[in-house]
Amino acid sequence: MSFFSSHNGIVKKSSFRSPLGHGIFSGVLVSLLVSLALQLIPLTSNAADNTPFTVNDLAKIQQKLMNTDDSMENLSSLYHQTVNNIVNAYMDAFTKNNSDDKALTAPPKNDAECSAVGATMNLSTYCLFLRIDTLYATYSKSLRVKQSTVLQDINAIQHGGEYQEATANSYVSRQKWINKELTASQSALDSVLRSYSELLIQYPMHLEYQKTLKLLIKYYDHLVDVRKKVDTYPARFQDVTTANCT
Amino acid sequence: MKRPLLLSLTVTLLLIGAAVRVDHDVGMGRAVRMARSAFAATDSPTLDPPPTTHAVFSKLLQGVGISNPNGEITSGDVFGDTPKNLYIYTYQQIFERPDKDAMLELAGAYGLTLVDAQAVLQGSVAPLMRGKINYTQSKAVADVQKIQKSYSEILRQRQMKYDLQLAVLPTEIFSNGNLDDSGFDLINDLNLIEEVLFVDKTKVYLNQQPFGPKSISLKDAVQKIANIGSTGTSSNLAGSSGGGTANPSSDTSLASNQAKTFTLDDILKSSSASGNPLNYCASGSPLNKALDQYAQSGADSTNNTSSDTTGQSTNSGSPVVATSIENIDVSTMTPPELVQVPVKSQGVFMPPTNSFCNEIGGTLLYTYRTKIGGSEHEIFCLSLEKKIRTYTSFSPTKTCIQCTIAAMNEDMKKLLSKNITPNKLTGNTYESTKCKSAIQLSDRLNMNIIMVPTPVITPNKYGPFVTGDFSKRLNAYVRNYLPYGNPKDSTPERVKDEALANAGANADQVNVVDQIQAQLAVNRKDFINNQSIQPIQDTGASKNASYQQMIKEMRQMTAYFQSFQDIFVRLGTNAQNVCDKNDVNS
Repeated sequence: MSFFSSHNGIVKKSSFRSPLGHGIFSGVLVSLLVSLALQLIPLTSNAADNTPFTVNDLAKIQQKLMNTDDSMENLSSLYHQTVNNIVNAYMDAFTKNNSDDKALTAPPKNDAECSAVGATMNLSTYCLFLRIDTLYATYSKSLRVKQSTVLQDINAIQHGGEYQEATANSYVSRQKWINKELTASQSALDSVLRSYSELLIQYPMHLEYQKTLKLLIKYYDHLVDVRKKVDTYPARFQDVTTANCT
Repeated sequence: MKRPLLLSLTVTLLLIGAAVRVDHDVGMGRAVRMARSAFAATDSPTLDPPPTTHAVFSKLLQGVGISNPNGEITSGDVFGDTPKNLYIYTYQQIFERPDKDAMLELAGAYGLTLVDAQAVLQGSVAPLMRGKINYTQSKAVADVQKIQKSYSEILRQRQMKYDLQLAVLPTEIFSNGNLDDSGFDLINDLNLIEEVLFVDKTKVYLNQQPFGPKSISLKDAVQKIANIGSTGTSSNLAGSSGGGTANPSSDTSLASNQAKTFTLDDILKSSSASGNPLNYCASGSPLNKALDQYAQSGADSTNNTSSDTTGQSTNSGSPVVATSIENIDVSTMTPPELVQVPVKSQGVFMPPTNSFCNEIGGTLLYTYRTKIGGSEHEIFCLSLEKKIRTYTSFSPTKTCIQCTIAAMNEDMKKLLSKNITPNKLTGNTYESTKCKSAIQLSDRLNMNIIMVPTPVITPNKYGPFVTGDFSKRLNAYVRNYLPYGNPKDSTPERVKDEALANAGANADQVNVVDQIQAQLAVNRKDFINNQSIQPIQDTGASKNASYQQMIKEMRQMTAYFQSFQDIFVRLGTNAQNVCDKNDVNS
């Protein structure tokens, strides 16, 4: 069971993804819930300067992602860049966090804990997921809208007697591209979240190994110092016999 | 006027109807019907083509500050000093790699370029027919279909490969022994620790910096000597500044000159051809023979030889001929006495065939005129050789801790096999014939290193990777993740059985089915409610606990190493004290 799928049920409860999902009103409802969710999670940009963590930044990005008139290339680039920046910021914040406070990486008891910012920002995978999921839901929804638009386009042209093979090919390739993008986006998100989860666990181990390794190198240096002195013993003690006690 | 208005309203309503369905998996036929109706009276909108993969990733990488004209994120872009771009790297692996790899394999298998292979996959027969005479259209079409089928199979295999890789990669990315896909790797860390402890390695790199005793190669030694010469005597060796020569080409650095080896003939030819004598070290010098002749000729002949060498009068005493070699400290040979011969301007460097410098043929490194004794036209022959010898039994190829300990014990074996405690004449009955203070010294020498294996403390019962009650976790997993909760009482079969059992004799089939559906709905709702964050917390906490335990063990082991290190520091002091004892140093 993937991390993504295992969280799906939770996210439905906690994020703006509407369980209704029906009709034109769902778009309005989704927008409202997006705003509401963003208000509940006051994200701020302190993990990385170039990361859109502020409420306004995220709201603007989501607004752009909702713009289905924009090209798929722009939507895709915007979404993946944003997610990449957020993941970068979390990884950066975690690896630079010298605190021994395990609570920062422990899963939150409730979603509200993910709203903590600054030094007490919850760096758990769940909170990272919660932030990205809002963007993912918006992006995937926009892609589906465009997918539906494509369907209308091709039938309009066909019905108008202007059907062309090239247009049909374009329609098919766009459908394929969107389907592939939807799958790849979800898999990439799932994969990177699991990687981040591993990072939380294994990076501290790595630091301990590094400490051990550095100590061993010092250990070895001291051992070599001893050896350099001891190596001269056989030569120094040759023909040193004396009849006098010293 | 009414008809267009009615049509417009119809269009509007149908458009809304279409929009209502945009986020649902509606049936194709219904959507098509709606769309046909909606756009029957509208202008045909334009279709923007799907973005190319290259365009998407180029823009994406440019957006995150990665400059790559191929639109590929490389492993070097992932992690580095700080972890970064793992998401895009993963995304590209998923989105693009299977297709790209399959295309490459297909093109290679059929001897096509990538462009041709793509064209064939799109149905073009032109790339196949190009340059072929007896190749019919029908055969080409058949081959296109064959290639397309082959591509599908290759792509399926590649997709499977990446799916499997994707399933494993996230959990192993930091512990697969590969630093290319991550900034750190636990297996790599352990390998490094193992190398320091046990494995013989010439060099062990940590952050590209070798540690341990440095061994100097002959090449490095030579280069080092060259550097000493070029820096210590730069004002004179440079030629252009010290000797006042006007020839700019003689301003060749020593290091570059050292890179080549010339025979004396080459030097002479070069000198005569360009007027630029090169101070190169010739190869294959009969130095020993020349030295023997020099020794036989006696001290007086030296003056004669030098006079012959220069071809000019010299009454300044013996020229300095440095031939030795290991005893010369080249760093101290900074000469105000040595001035390079301004050859071109004075034309003095034409070693006659019978000169001493020529006899040693090619060991000539530099020619100088000296100011010793007031003469300025002496040829100064200098041969430098540096011999590096290992001054202890320490072998630089053994850089592991175990190797060092083993070598120390081996070296000490011979010494400790003998009793080196000095004897004395016994003065009293039963008195030891050994010097008492030396006995204490002897005890110090009886050094040995004992390695005590430390047991690794691991969580009992389940080992280091599973903590807590496994069955309890399994139950939690079943309760929260399986579709209908606890299989003991919530599986569809159990629900069906219970519904049949409770139906009674007069219940009809519809009632039983309704009851089953109702119960399943309740169970499904319970399942959704139960699907809380708790299992994830448990999973994370379990893994964290395991690694926390391992971290404790690592810290304990590090503490042992720290204590050993402290022991070695004291041991080194004691070893020095032994060396410093008067009787030992005498």
